[in-house]
Amino acid sequence: MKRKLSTAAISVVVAFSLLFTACGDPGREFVKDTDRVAGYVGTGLTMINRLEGDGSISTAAALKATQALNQVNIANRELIQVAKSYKVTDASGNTTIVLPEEGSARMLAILDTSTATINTLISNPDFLSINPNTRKQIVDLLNSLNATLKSLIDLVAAAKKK
Amino acid sequence: MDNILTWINSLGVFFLQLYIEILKEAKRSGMSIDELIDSAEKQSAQNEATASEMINRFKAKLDANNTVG
Repeated sequence: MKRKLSTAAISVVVAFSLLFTACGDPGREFVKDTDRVAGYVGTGLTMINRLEGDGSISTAAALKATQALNQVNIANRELIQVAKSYKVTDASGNTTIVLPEEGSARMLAILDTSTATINTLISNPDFLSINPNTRKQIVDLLNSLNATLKSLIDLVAAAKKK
Repeated sequence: MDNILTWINSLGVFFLQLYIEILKEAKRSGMSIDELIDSAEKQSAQNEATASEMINRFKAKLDANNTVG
């Protein structure tokens, strides 16, 4: 019950914070979203470790979930490196990230891979064998992760259109 | 009575988690781009180390179970 409400709290904040993403500076929001993704992956790993430790999920399911979160983390690190390469500092010393059209295809490919990794995990037999209540807690967190990845996709797609 | 206490406890956890998440968002809002990149990089590096340790531990556990079986 406690874990269920903890993931619900994360979902509430994700929903509100992503509402404001469209209003901010796209480059800054992009970096904020990569920081959010890193945070959710960290929370997800802690949750999987605890659930496996208390026997709520099988080791096989925990391994699949950890491998998927690791893949998302690797992709997110790549996005951070790409964002760093588009960092621009103006004459007054203000730093911004300018997302150019070139490179956006690569970013979208990285983001699509992350989304596919999460969706593959959700339909994996080991993952589906987790009892529904426990699985829902993990799926709630994965949905928050997916919502943030969708926000990143929207930011890159908007930069591509400009 | 136990059920009521469990509910109060769970709601307490919900609001504590909500408060933590709001604090994290507020912290992000006050950070510069360089600080945000630094924060994301540090958390990602920590995630990578944690995931690597967990993957190795789970694989070893599965291998041990298979050997016993």
